[in-house]
Amino acid sequence: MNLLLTTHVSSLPAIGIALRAIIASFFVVTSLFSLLAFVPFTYEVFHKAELVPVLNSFGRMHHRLYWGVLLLAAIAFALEPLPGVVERARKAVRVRAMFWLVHVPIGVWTLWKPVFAVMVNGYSSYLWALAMLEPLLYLSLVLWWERWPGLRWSAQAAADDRRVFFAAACSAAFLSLVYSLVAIWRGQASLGLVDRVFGVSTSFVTHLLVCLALFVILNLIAVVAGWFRRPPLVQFAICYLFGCTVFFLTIRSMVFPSISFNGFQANFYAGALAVTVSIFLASLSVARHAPGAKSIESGLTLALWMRATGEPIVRTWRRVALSALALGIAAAAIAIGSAKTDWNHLFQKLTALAVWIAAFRLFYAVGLWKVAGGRHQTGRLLIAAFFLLPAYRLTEAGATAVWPRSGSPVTFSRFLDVYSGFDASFKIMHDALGSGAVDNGYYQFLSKNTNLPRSVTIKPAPMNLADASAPPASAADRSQLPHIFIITVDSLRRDYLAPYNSQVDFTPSIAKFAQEGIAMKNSFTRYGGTGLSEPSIWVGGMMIHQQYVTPFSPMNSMQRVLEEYDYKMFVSRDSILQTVVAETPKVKLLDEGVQTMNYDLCRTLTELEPKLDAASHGPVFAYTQPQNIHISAINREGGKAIDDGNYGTFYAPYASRLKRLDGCFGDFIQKLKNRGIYDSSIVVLTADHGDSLGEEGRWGHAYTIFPEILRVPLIIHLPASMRDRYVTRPEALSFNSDLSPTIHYLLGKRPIVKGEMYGRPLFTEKIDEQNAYKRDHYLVSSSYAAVHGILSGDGRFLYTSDAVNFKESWFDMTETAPSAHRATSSMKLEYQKLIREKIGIVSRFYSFAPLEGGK
Amino acid sequence: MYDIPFVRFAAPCAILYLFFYFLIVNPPMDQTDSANQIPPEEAQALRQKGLRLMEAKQFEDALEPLTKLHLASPDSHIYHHDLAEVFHALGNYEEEVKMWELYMVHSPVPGDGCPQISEAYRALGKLDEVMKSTKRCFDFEPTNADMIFFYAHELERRGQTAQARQLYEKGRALAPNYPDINVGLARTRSASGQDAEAKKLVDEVLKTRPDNVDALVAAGLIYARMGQRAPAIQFLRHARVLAPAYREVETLLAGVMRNRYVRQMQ
Repeated sequence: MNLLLTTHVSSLPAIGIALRAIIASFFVVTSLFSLLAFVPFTYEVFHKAELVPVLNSFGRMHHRLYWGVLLLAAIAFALEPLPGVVERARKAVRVRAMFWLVHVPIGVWTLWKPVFAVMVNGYSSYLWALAMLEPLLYLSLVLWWERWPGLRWSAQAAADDRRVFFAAACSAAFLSLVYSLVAIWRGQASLGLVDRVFGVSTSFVTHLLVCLALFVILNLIAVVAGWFRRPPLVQFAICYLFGCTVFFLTIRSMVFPSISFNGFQANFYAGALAVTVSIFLASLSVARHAPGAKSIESGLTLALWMRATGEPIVRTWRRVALSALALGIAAAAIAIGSAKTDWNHLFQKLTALAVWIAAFRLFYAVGLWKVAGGRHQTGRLLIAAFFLLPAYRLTEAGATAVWPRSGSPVTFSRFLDVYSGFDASFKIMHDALGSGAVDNGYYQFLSKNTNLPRSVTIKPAPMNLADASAPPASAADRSQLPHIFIITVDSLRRDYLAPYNSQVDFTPSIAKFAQEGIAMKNSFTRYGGTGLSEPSIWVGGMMIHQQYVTPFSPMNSMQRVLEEYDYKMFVSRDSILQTVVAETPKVKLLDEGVQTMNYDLCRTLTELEPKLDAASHGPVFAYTQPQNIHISAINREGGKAIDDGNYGTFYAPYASRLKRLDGCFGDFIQKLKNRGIYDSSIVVLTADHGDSLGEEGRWGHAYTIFPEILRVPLIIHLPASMRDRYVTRPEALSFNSDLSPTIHYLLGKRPIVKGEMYGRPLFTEKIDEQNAYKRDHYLVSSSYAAVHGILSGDGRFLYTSDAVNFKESWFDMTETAPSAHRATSSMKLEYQKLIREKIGIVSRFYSFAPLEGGK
Repeated sequence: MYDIPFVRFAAPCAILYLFFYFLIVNPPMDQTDSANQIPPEEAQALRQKGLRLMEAKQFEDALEPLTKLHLASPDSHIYHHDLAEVFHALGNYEEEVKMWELYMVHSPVPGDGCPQISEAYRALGKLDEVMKSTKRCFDFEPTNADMIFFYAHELERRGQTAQARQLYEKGRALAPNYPDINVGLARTRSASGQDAEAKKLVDEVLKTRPDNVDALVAAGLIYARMGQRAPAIQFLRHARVLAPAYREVETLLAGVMRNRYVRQMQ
């Protein structure tokens, strides 16, 4: 205790900073982990499906890690000197002791009941998310309280406008250089020389514009601070207030919409997190400052964790260059390394924002050394910043005018959309400046009706695909019922399969399978992302956008008809099907004990094969959704190809795994043939959705509904007895959610109902029957965020409304690689209305009034 | 000047406002509406291909180039018109209606989509929309005799004879030799008991256009009402020869021949 009662006060040692950073990270991660359990979609993906296993391990070990963090807090307290005044030091000891009184019992309680090991999707998780910010807030406020009296504030602020201007301009140049190099590297296959010139120059001008806007803001803060008695203090406070606001807006407008987290709870949490983190960082700023003879002259300098007394920080160009080089390499490595695992550029954008701050701090420090002092030139600097605005507009207008001469088939604005896919730093600004979003309520409407939280009670709405009084199947004799095998390969792209792309030579078994069956040429999924696409296959149509309405069985038309016909079912009941497929005596599990993300088709089919002995006693149904080629599985395995094959322009890590999968699939088909049941089986190979594999810098399937994500393969083999009896139109628009209606029809359930909510039978006795199901427009949606679209013209046209990025686009699906075109005003008018109507129809099917988002 | 406290505050505020206004509130004009154009040469070739296929009655095939053009220039009334005709030929009235609706919005001469839009709605059985679209057409060009005729004829079909007659009168004033208007006026005058004037009008029309089926039918109807069965039957028989698919002629003829029609009317 004597050690703690030292009366000598110095700045917080580096080890203290490091310890506090670790403690802060722990509680922020815990808070976010809890929040992921509260949001329905992230609960399904991160908590149930364990998309990022390290997070779940963190949760399981949390009650032990917590004690480790408390130990670190104890060390931090021991290392941190107490206030110089004895009386205040005694109070500080009591305040520190309070920390243990509160947080040790919590640790004991979590040992007894490890709440973070298995979290529930409900309000308790939200409360935990908020509660876990408290320790961080407490520690920060303690530090602040102890250190604050030791600070001495100058009565006059340092004139550092030139430093700020210098730092802003250098940051712009640095950021545009680093991220342009990244863009050129990443987009080497897509960006030509002219593209690079236009992209890099636009990126530079935009960076300069935004950085100089920051200079103007900081100048204004300095002016306002100058009105007060202690300008550096006010400047420090406003700087953190500004930072806190930017942080809040980033979380609220960039992060939460991408996980469909909206409303008051989102605002409140974003506010709590922004305030807590800002107070934490501010407390470190305060603690790092060694109280000495010199008073603080610049609140900005203190806010940037630098000595605020006007002393130089960086002393040599060499050191500056090395620091910039290190920062540049780190930024590039993060941007390139995270691209394939990113959530539609979200992580890249967030890290780019962090690099912005680091770059500004670096060059601001240079400014302290190089351009400190000198005459006030603020007026001229402001004029320079002002004139950048017309220069920016003129540059853009000039580029737009000159661009067509480059011979590019796309417009300049469209090109910038593409370029920004490779340049995360530019993308932040391009998205913010280019959206021009004046939300008249439409985007709010989409957000409110997407991923409805479980607190919104929605009753199940039965999906009866066929009239309940329909005559029993003509093939009611169980021995004549076909066996049914549905293999839904997660993230399987159509153009990576030989039946759909003549350049593919690594899927010979699937090619042969398609020759024996029928490859639907124009097939799509209604939902981008597994969350709703997999259930829609079982439902046989559309669902309300909630994960999930429970009990789900009334919607599960496929399971119902299979139960009715007394099928023995073998199902890989993954984390989603645990909700969708009811546990009944007829359902036998495949992949029991295997984590969803580890589902391997080869292993599953090996497990299934001996179980097919049951086929001799009656009809058998099997369903599995292997993860072999899921982008996260590929990345978890190192992102490398699994063989030495030459896959040409195809993405080798994906193609090589697909080749292996193809082999296993071919073996399984052969085994069915050997058993003599192939010709009495319906075998389906499809996907829940496609995937982006580098198109315009996009990877994965996140919350988007780009063409490559909506298009899926759909290959169906029918029993010999059905092939002559039923007809289909392979070129007609079809969906994977048509499988359940098709099975209903083929089992003899007629008539299959028609309507917006339902799929259609892909095979009918007469071709005319199929015409009655044709619709002009189909609603398509992302499973995870407020991104919806309309597919029309028999799949030739796709319109998308992205309420995350406030973008309206359309795609000509007849193009080989459809790229986004900006929607015109007339298209927006028409299709936004259609999307609203369709969402309304789906909602009303569930007797639920769509939540309005304004006019 | 910058040392004046107010300027020190106002200058950055003004600059930030300008940044906000010109970058967020009023960003650069989106070139989209005119920027998605296919290169002119390609667009020309596609349209020629589309028109050629239409001429050859290969409407299914014409869809592809014309749809591509439409997707590239969704606000082009030219492509709306082309596609509407193609959809009409294919019997896809839903799509036809959509094209005409777009045409009505984007065309500098929306009346050129009349009466096709109304007829497409009629084919879909959407009679209220027929009325609305006809009225819209009339409102576009209220002094255009065609628009007057379409609107008046639609009102007449709906039994709003008085209003129809007013419009026909207006149309006749604007275009005295417009046969359809004169025939329509004759029908509505006859309906209001002015058979003599009606007879005069149809006679005038038949003098110059003896093969005008509508005029022949109207004449048959008016003459029959006036008790002149023989010429009425003659007119109707002539109409039947000219338009064998015109079912109403057959009905009228049968009625007149059995003399029932006249009695019923009396």
